[in-house]
Amino acid sequence: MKRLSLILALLILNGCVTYSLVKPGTVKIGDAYRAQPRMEWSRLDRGRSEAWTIDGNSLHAVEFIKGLEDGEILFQPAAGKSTDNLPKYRKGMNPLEIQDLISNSLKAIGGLKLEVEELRPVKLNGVDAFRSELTYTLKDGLIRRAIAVSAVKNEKLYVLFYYAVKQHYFGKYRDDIERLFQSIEIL
Amino acid sequence: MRIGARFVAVAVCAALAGCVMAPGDQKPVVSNSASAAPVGPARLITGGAKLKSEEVGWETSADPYAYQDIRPGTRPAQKSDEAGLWMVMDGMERQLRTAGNRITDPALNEYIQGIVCKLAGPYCPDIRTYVVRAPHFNATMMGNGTMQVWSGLLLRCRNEAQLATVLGHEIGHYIRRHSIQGMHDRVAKADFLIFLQIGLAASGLPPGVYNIAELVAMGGVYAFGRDHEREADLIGITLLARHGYDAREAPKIWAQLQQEMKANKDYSAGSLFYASHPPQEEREATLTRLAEKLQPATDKFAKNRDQYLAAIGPWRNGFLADELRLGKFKTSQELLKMLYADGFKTSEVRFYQGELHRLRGKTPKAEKNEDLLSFLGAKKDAPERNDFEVALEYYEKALKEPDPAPVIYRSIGLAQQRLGNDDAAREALKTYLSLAKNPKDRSIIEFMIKQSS
Amino acid sequence: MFRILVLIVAVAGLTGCQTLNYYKSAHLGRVDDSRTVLIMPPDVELSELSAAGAPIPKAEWTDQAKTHMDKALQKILAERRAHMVNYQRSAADDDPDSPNVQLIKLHNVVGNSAIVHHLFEQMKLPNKHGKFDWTLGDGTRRLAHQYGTDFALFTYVRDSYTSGGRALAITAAALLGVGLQGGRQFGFATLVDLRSGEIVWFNLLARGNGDLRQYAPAEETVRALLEKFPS
Repeated sequence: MKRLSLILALLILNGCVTYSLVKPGTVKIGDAYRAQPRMEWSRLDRGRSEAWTIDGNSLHAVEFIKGLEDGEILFQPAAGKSTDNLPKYRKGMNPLEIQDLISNSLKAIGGLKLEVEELRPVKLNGVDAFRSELTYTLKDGLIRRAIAVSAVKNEKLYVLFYYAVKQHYFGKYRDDIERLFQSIEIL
Repeated sequence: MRIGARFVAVAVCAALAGCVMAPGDQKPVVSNSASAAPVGPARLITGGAKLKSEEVGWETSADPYAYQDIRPGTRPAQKSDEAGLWMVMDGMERQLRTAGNRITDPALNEYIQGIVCKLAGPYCPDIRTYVVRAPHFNATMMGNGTMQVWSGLLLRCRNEAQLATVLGHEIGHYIRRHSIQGMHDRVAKADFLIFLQIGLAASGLPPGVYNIAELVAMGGVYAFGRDHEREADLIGITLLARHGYDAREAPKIWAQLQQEMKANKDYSAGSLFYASHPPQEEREATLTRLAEKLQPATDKFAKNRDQYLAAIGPWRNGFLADELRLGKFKTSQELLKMLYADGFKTSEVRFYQGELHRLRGKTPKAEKNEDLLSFLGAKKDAPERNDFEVALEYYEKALKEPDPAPVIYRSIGLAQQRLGNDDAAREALKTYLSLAKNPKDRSIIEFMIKQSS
Repeated sequence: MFRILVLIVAVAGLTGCQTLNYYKSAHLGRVDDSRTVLIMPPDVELSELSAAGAPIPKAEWTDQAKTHMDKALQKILAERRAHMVNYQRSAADDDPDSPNVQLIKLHNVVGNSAIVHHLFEQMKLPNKHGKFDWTLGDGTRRLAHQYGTDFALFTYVRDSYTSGGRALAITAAALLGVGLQGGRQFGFATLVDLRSGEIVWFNLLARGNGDLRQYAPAEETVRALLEKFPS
């Protein structure tokens, strides 16, 4: 995520992309999701995914993965790195395979000492989904936690991935994230 | 060509009136007393001139013994360039101590540090070994004595003698101070380049000429690097033999790596011009010859396979999973075949052979387009059989080997489900749940079983 | 870690979109004789530029710089009547999961975030509405208890000097109308309130002069670094 932040920084400095404000209310995320945030966020639209943050992407963010199709990768690697050997979503994957996809994708972009906590089924506004919690670090050794909620609709994979530095930041926004996730509809 | 370019530079420099490289930057700095032929522990280990074997083709004409061995227990003088290099490396080492990818397990670290200590002799206290979770065949040595051993290397060594070969090689880099030699050489080349470029700019030559100069200089930099590697190989195998290890294990590492790499026909060893290591074939051949020289009689020397497998065994499962995650189907497959033939924890290896296919998940029908491409001469990737069927065969084999792990049933369940055999999938997943200890995915699997009934 | 920041500042310098280079919390008040400051080990490196511009790290200069900076900090904080305590490294600092190690790593990431999202116009987070609000969380109270301090000061300096060969190259290139860069000084400091974990002050320094190898100019650099330090 730190690498993401650097690329972001350079892109932004070059005027390619800036953060825009998310106000409480009904918000559309591309054609993929509808959400009801109850607080303000800063959003960054990256096409295939969108990231929301309050304190900056190196500290925490929600990644909204906007419906992966067969053969697509989950997380974008650092600039210049090839996507050839990265794990890809295949239609027909079941929850266990999707969880492996999430874990392997995270490791492929630098996730280390990854541990998956309980994987369980949930409902995302009526749609069958499942969630897991993960703990990992990056090369800097700072411990991070993440919540992943995934669902398949019309053979596309939807993933909500919230990550935060474990110390202070994960706890700080935990309740807000749970409320936000509960409000999300897949379009 | 290098000499020609240097001549031009000199001419250019003369034109710029008295150009001189920054004083003190390029002279080799000796950290201990400057006697022409130092004796003592350092020299005894490397053997001095004896190691400059005629059997090894040195590329550079420069005398590698212009730099003397580091003396055990010493640091470079504070004013020297080498001290500056150590300062930066000390900082990098501090980061490494608490890095996310460091394996801190005491038993594993003690085992490897123990081998390093034995080989390094009087240099033992000067070298600190770090085990790093990184799925590639690699080990590195920084000038200040920080050695890294990557997990991909631990996965590929078959016994202690093979690991000791690599560790001895890295110790050689430390003793011979290759880091500071390298830095001086790179600085010298870069400094030379900038005056050349200024000179060339002054004479109005087009930019293309700079590139040739850079090319020449870079070739020079890497050639120096290759000689360092040759020297480190010599020292490594000497230490290996001296401490009673079977020196014939040394070339096997390269043979094994070659076999693995060649499984991918698209693999190219990289442009020779830029390669920082001698070709693997050359290393294998040289080490074979040296082994004969050092140990003409066979069978008396240690491989310590049991000790190695006991130390690395608990980790191999994780290292294999890391390897698979790289998505390099052909080379991983070759590696797994070799590890199976090696005979250690064969159930694990069979399982990962299955996983390789399941994760690739290709079916012949889907590859219709690729058949067309292969007809047109492009690389042929289409599998002959359904990957999930092949995976199941490997899982069955894994179950027949000693100590099969419960997770095999989980993968059987997943593969069966992909083949549409829902009943078989359910049975396998139920078996997994009954055998596994506190699986984290229990509730989702129960949900999946319920859904499919 | 802060190498990334140096890169970003360098790029920003080129694109000219850097706005502020310091921040001070409105409710910070004075750092005076009622307060103690924990000085974290400064991250300092001095180097000499070779003719081609490659920075050759210099251990002796770096050691001298650290000594001078420590002495200058003592003097400057004494002027403001604040007390100074140095962080002591221990065996626990080799354990990646130990609380102090995690806290220092956290400071790196929070500091990086704070500076990048606050300094650069295009990176501002709209939800902050211009407010500087960055914290390490109250895990910092551990350090407050351990050292009996109210604040912690983190410093980072990278300083390069031209060698003879570099000076010659600069001259030669200038004759041909080519501008080559000489030595540069880059540094920043952050002050963390250890009771709340908030970053209450930071200052960024990026310039082409400054000499940390002798005491007097080193004191000048530290004063520049601590410019607008609350007092």
